[in-house]
Amino acid sequence: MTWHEITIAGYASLALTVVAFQVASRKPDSRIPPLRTTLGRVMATRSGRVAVLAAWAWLGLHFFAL
Amino acid sequence: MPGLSRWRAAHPTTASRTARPRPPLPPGVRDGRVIVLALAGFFDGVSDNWLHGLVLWTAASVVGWEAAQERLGVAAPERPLLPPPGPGRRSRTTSALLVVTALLFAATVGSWHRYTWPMTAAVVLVAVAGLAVGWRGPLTAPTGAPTLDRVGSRLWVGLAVAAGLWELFALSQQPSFTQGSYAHPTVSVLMDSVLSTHAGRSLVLLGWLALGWFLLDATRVTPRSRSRTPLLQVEVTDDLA
Repeated sequence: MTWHEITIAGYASLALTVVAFQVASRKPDSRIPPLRTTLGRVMATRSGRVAVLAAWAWLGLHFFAL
Repeated sequence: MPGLSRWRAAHPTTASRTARPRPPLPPGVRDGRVIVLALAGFFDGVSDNWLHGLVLWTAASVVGWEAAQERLGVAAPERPLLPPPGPGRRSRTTSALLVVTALLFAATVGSWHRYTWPMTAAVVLVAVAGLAVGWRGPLTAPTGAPTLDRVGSRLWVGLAVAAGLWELFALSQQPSFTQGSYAHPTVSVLMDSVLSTHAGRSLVLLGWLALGWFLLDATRVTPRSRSRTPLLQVEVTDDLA
């Protein structure tokens, strides 16, 4: 297995883990909250909203802007 | 060391004379969100993108300042942008308008080349609008959902940290911070081939807009908990310092 394949596998594992957590959160009495609810908690304050939205804004700048 | 602690207990005056009080870090600096933004800004900077690094450092400073204001209870009041959800027809019309606008934006702006002034202006405009909405307050007034399970929440945070570390590992394995690597591609390197076409740029722009809306919409479901401590709060105690 090459390093390229290992790196891609790492990204794929992270993406699959997101899906797994989200599926697990739908079970009754699950301790894992849905992603939207978790984000809602992080963004419950202005500082949290600015932090998360700054990261989102940076994504757009990073891929498209000067 | 048990012997040392017994000695200190027996000689409190000597212990207090020799112990140097450590100045506590300002609350804003201890905040994990500030640390993450500042680190991301640093690595973006050393990747020859100091302008974007400056954006992240500015965001880190603003977050730290605002977090300190919130702790002191002197933060500016928040004002929800939208009224509570009304009749179905109105919200469906608004949603349809937003979707059509997003599609037009993605199709039009996606036809422009990356790293050009028109593309930059369009993305900056949307980014600033999103930040302005988030600064003002949640999208609607919080609904008061149940408190989150702390362990479950930290799993999400841990996953985000793991993703950041994996990206950082790939970046560190490049020939240099400014030169991509086939063996250790970062997300940016992987996206280059997608973003080289009009369709690819439009799709990614649409995804970025959808992510922004998802984040703003998440502010509608704000679990009310007694603790306003951010999930990424890092408490520096004497044991850790």
